[in-house]
Amino acid sequence: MLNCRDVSVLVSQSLDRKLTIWQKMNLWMHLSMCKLCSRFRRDIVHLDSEARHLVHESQRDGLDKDITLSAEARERLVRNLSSQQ
Amino acid sequence: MEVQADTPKRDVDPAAWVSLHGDSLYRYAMSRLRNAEVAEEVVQETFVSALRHTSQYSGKGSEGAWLMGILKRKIVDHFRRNAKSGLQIDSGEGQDITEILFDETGSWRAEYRRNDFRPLDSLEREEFWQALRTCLEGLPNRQSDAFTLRTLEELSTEEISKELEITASTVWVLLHRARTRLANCMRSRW
Repeated sequence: MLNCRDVSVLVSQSLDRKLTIWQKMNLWMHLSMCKLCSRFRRDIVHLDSEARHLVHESQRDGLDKDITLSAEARERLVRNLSSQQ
Repeated sequence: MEVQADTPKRDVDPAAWVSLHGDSLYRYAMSRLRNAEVAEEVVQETFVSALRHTSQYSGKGSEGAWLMGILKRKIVDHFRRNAKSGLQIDSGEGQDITEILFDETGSWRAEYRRNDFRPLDSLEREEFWQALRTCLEGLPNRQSDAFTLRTLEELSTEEISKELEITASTVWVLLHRARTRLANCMRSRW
């Protein structure tokens, strides 16, 4: 029987590789009985999908609009590029 | 006279390039690297590389997308250089998060059995994004690099393993620790 720490490892790995059929069965058996691990799984899965989603959105809709090059940085970039031409 | 192998198709105005694409490239780099100096450096490498290879730009897609493609490669190169330099290995992994969360039998410790944690999917997108950025900064470098490459750059475990020259099992360990720490940090902010 897997303990909660083992389950946290498998929950994370399930996002990166195909688990074996035995690992899947053991995982689901544990999750069906353990509220804390189910909560952990829900958080980890959401973390993964929402981070992927928001990193795309941040480019488009201004989630990171406050992040811009400073005037000095802009100047450094132009100067450096001009010297390379 | 030396013949240029890579003759530019058109003149490039550096000021116009920086003005048109600088912020979006910088924003992208910052979301992955979280360090203004490093992000600027990578954007600079991107522009310089693009300038040297302007003939490779077919003109079919947008110029911004072409530059973004170069930037993505530069970001992965940056992580690879860091991994190779060994600096990050010495920076330590911090305390093993699993020792904080689980007892010696592998069960959740009492303080993590509470029911008043706010689930991550109840966070509004702005708060989620801010919390993720802040908590990523608090991760040991190797863990945040692995998480960034896997989740934000969407590289496979095999690709990360190849780029960082570490085994796939090490990538899984880093990702497990990164995700567990992030979830814990993001929850504890509310």
